[in-house]
Amino acid sequence: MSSQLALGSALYSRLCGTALGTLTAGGTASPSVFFEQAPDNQSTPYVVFLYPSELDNNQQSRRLKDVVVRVYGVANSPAVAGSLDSAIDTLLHRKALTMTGWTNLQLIRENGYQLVSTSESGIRYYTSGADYRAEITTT
Amino acid sequence: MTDIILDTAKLDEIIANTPGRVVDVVTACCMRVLGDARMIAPRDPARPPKDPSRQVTGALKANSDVVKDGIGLTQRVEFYQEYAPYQELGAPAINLPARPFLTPSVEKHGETFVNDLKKVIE
Repeated sequence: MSSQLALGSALYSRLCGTALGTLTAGGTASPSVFFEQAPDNQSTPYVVFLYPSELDNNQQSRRLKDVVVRVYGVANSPAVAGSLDSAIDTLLHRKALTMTGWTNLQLIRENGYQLVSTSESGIRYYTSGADYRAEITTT
Repeated sequence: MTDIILDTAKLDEIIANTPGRVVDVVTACCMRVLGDARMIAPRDPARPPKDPSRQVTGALKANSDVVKDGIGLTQRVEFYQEYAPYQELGAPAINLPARPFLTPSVEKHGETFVNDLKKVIE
C-alpha cells in the first residue's frame, strides 16, 4: 500500500473516532471528516486533512518519509473551531498511527494557525488547525 | 611560572567572517524557498473567483519578495497578494481547498539550510 493511502486511511480512522466525531456536523454516525476538500455546501463543523509536504530521506536503505500533515477544523464560531483543534491535538500529538505496511515512528504537532474567511452572504468561517509531522518507514 | 599566551587571531577571524557568511546562507536559503514557492504558486483562474473569463494574472507569484531585518540574519519570504493565505491554508467560505506553496518549499530546503549553516560555523 502506498504511504499516502496508508497514512490517509490511518488518519481518517483516528479522526473519525467518537471523541472528534461528536463535535462534527455528521455526529458519530457519519463524522464530517474529509481529505483535501469538503463537499460543496457542507454543514459546519467539519474537519479537513491534507499533506502539504512529503519528503523522502534517501540516505537510508529502507524507505523513510517525512510527511507534513495539515489537519484543521472549520466552524462558524472561533470557540467551536478551537474545540475541534483541541480534540484533533489530543488525538494526534505524540500518538503514533497504526498503518498498513508502514510504521509511524512519530507524530508531533508543529505549527498551529487560525484563519477566518467570509462568504458572500456574510457568514464567517473560522479555521483552526495545525501541521503535524509524521515520520514513517517501511515495516 | 609559565606564561600562557592566548592568540585570539583565529577567534577574531571567525567572529569577523562568520556573520557575513551566515547572512549569505540565510539569503541563499530564502531565495531558494522563494523560487520554489513561486514555481508552484497556484495559477488556477477559476478559483478565486469562480469565473473562467478571468485571465491568469500571475499576481500571487509576482507580488512576493525576500525581506531582510537589520543586517540580514533574519529574513522573511513574503507573499503580498491578499488571497495568499487562503491559497496556502484554504478558504472554507468559498470551499477553496488549501493549495500549499510555501510549506513544501520551506520543507524542501530545511535540511540544506542546516547543512550549509554547519559548514559556515565549523
